[in-house]
Amino acid sequence: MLSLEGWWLGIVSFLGALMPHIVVWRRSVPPPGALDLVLYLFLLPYSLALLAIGFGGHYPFVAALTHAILASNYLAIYPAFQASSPTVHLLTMLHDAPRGMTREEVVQHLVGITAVESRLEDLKRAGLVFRSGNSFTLSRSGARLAAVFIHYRGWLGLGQGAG
Amino acid sequence: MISPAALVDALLTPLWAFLLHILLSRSRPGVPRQKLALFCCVLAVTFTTMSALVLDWISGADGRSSLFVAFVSAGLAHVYFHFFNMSETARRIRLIVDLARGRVPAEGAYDNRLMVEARLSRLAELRQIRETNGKLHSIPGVFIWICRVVRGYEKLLFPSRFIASPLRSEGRESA
Repeated sequence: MLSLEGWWLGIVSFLGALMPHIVVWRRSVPPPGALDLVLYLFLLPYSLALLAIGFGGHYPFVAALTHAILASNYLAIYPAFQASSPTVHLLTMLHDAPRGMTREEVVQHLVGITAVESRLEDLKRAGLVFRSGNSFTLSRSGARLAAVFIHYRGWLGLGQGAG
Repeated sequence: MISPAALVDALLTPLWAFLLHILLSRSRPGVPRQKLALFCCVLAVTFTTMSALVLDWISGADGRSSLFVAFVSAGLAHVYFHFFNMSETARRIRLIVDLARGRVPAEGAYDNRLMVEARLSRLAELRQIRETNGKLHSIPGVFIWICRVVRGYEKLLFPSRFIASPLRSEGRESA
């Protein structure tokens, strides 16, 4: 049986990891990528925890698990912040328009944050595609990631997502 | 105290959600996809938490370990839901899948309209918007407040996007 004692240390370590992440991201243009986020949320805090244990500190397994759950959830929702989610824009835009908006107005407002070119540049910065002339090609990581989603959707019996 | 079996069960929540999702997705193709994914996640968390409660009852433990199991299970189910949501709605994922299939990413007004229409359909399915006399309106609820929090956090994390034009709340700075 595992003790639940000290589980709350996971919340402390997660919030502690979030602080430098926010500071660095605010100061960096363009912001660091997803792998850097993994460094800030997992590698650094766990390394510090191991160091603390080495010096006689206390960081139980349940705390590490709590931290991992919180950090995984943060990673899962991070793309909505990083990519300036069109759905979030759409809803806040409609909420701020008491008389409503036509579909045409909505499309015009969102065109800037949905353009394919800006998304491809995001993918290029993440090392998932590379540009050759006017065309884009998948990198090895990009191909692997695409395969994961293609197989995943295949298992569910679904076609490609609408995007 | 928490039993390792209950913990392992909780850690396998994404697998339970995925297996349920395969079953229901193939047998109920007409059900809105995000609702179905959400249902599978809720079912997986319920199953895991109930198992932990039964184990607690058998061992005579108090309910705290079940709470922790519920937390772990719900957290992992949430991650699974976002993974599915990304496969369904993320434009960047669609782009890399298009490239993997040898399709040139579409560009232009038609494609942008399709993308917006897809989002409007999803929001209508989730009852977050309604259309009246050709005008779209948001339906007040928790979702709006979540969006406000997301936008607020985006401003905290990426202040440079909002400095150039304080009145521009719908766009993002170019790459």
